[in-house]
Amino acid sequence: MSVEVRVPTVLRKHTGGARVVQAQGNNVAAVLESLEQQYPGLKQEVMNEEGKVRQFVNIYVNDEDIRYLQSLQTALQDGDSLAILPAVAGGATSIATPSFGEGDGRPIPSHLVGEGQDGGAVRLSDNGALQVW
Amino acid sequence: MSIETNAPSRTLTLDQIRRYQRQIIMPEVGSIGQRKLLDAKVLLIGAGGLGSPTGLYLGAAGVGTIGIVDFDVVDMSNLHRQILHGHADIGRPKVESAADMLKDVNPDVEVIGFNEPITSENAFRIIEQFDIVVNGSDNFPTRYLVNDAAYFKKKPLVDGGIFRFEGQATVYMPGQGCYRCLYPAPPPPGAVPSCADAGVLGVLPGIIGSIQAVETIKLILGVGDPLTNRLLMFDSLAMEFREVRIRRDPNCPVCGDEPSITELIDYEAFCGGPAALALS
Repeated sequence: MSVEVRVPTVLRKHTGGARVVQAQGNNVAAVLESLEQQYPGLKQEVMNEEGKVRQFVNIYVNDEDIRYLQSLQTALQDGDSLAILPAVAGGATSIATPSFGEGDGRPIPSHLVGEGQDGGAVRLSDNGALQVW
Repeated sequence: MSIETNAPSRTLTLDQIRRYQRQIIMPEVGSIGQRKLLDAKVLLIGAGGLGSPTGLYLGAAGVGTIGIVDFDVVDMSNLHRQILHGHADIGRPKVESAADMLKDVNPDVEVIGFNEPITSENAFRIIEQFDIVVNGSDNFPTRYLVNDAAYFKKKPLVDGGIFRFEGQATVYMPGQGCYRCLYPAPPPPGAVPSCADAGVLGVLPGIIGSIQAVETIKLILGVGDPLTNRLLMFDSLAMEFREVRIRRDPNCPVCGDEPSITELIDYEAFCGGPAALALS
């Protein structure tokens, strides 16, 4: 079965920014495998090592939470719509400090990012130090 | 449903009729609806990105008592989205800045500021004074705390969240599902970036916070179809609204058939916060 999968903003780094992608599978588990084949790294955001959906991520088939359907075994028809929805909290600085990076999609924990004249970047780190590279 | 208030006993002054005229002339509001708004007491958790537009529109509409819980001070990095505050407010406590702005928008409004974090120790004391709780918080421990406290105190909770260009909104009516029914457990720290890490377009919370204001007003007036059991999702880049269904989970530890959590807990520990990490 070919289904449409809606990718939340926070996971689009795995799909090259794509908001909606296509995947194949007869049930949700198969579709997640299909997604992993096309977009390595996506599945582990959604499922843990034991093969269960992470508790802070919800999956919907045609706008119904799969918890109330047949979970990962929920059967799919052609044209069904699957949506992945992790919890989001809002504005506070998170506890983790991901590594710096630009353009690789990873979060930058800085208060200010700007472009220098010669293409370098200027930023304020969390402790207020000015960094240039 | 509408929030139970005593039959509004106040009469509107001429100034109030002038001020609220444009909404009073609608059958869904009318003089009685306006008096319900003036009698209503709404608590805003947070006077930031979401709380700003919510507070402004509730105040403008004549919600008579607006409580605001926020222990933060205004920072320059807030100003691109937190429209309750201005440049001259940098360094001021947000509850004070918010109170000044709301009184300016509408002198009818009584603002009760709580310049303290909401915690398991004060949540009941604060929430029980109000009819409706509107969540504009920016972290997971507060989300779970506010959810549990609103449920235990039987207050409707108008929830909202934002991330980059997307937003969500819903209404939790006690007994019809809660935030834990949607997300039983929070992500481990760092698993989901916050706005400070990943960014947010300033106008995004403006839209979601305004939606929260509409939902609050609908509850007060008892009109329209509230977002109960409906998670509204907004994608501003695609300019698309979608909905998924939220159900009450019979196994929910707080609002399910056999609750295992019947009092407020340590939410920092629950969410793996600094206190918990420091101990681990």
